[in-house]
Amino acid sequence: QTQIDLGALVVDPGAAIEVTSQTLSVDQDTGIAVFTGDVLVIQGDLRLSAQRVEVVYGSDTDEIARLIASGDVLLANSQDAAEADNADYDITTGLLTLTGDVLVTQGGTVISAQNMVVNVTDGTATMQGRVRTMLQQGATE
Amino acid sequence: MNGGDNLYSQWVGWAKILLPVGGLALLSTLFLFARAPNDGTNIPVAQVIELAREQQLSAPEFSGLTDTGAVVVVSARSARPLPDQPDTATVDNLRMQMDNPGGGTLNVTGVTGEIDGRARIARFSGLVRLETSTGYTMETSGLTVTLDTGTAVSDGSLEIRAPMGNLTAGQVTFQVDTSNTGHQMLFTDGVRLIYTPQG
Repeated sequence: QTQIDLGALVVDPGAAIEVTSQTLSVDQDTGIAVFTGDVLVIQGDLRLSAQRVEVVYGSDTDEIARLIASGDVLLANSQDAAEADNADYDITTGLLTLTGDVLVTQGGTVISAQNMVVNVTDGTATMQGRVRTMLQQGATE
Repeated sequence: MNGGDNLYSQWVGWAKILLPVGGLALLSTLFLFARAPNDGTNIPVAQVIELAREQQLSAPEFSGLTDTGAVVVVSARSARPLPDQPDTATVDNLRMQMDNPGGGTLNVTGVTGEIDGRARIARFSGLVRLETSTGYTMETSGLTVTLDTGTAVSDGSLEIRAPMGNLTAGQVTFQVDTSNTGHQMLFTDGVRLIYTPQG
């Protein structure tokens, strides 16, 4: 378990979320909505891009509880970037869990792990599962 | 005659006169105060001439079943066959309701439209407003519905008000999902959703 600080990744949970994609399919009988085709989710300066994002509604269909992204997920903000296989962004709690060989590049350091939970409200993240990092000792200039 | 006991017969005597006269009065009012003669429902002559001059079908309604089992009801305010295309009729205030077996419904209204009987295609134009039972309402400039498959494809780009926020899309297609029989609303050519979380 490693605690890292993605300081710049602080997002106001009340900020508007903009989702753009090539297509959106809504099942008319159940109302399930799935964005496909290089989907980009933007909230504040959090940018989550993936091939497919499914919308999970909250208590009724006018509230989105979670966004489930899959297919080369990339979570980026001004400095840091995190890649994973899929991500589950729980909008109500502000927790974004990345699973499937997560790779975080933060400034110079690169950290990889099995999964990572990012709390977008305070910018902290915890990584679990074979966390490995390469520490450059400051190459000779 | 002592007046005391013949009060009853006096009363009967008066009744024998007053009651028939009252009845007569009532009966006469039946005929004297007849209702004012109202003129018949007046049909504007111009409309009659117009109706007679060209073939016109007012308030046509057409309903059918698509091969996926969705009930389609198409109705309009009036329909006029096109002179050059024999089996196409131009309609105004075209309205369509499609009830999917899964329970979802789609309501479409268009200011004008065309129904091609042979190809079984209904084309909505003018301001076309769509509403689905899942709470999506959208406007577009045109919609083409093939009535036997129940597929509807919009022409122009759309503004959509979804339960979760506002959407814009290049095109919408209502079709049967290829994987199962679920009816699917597919927005294509670039989709953009703005969602503002509550609370």
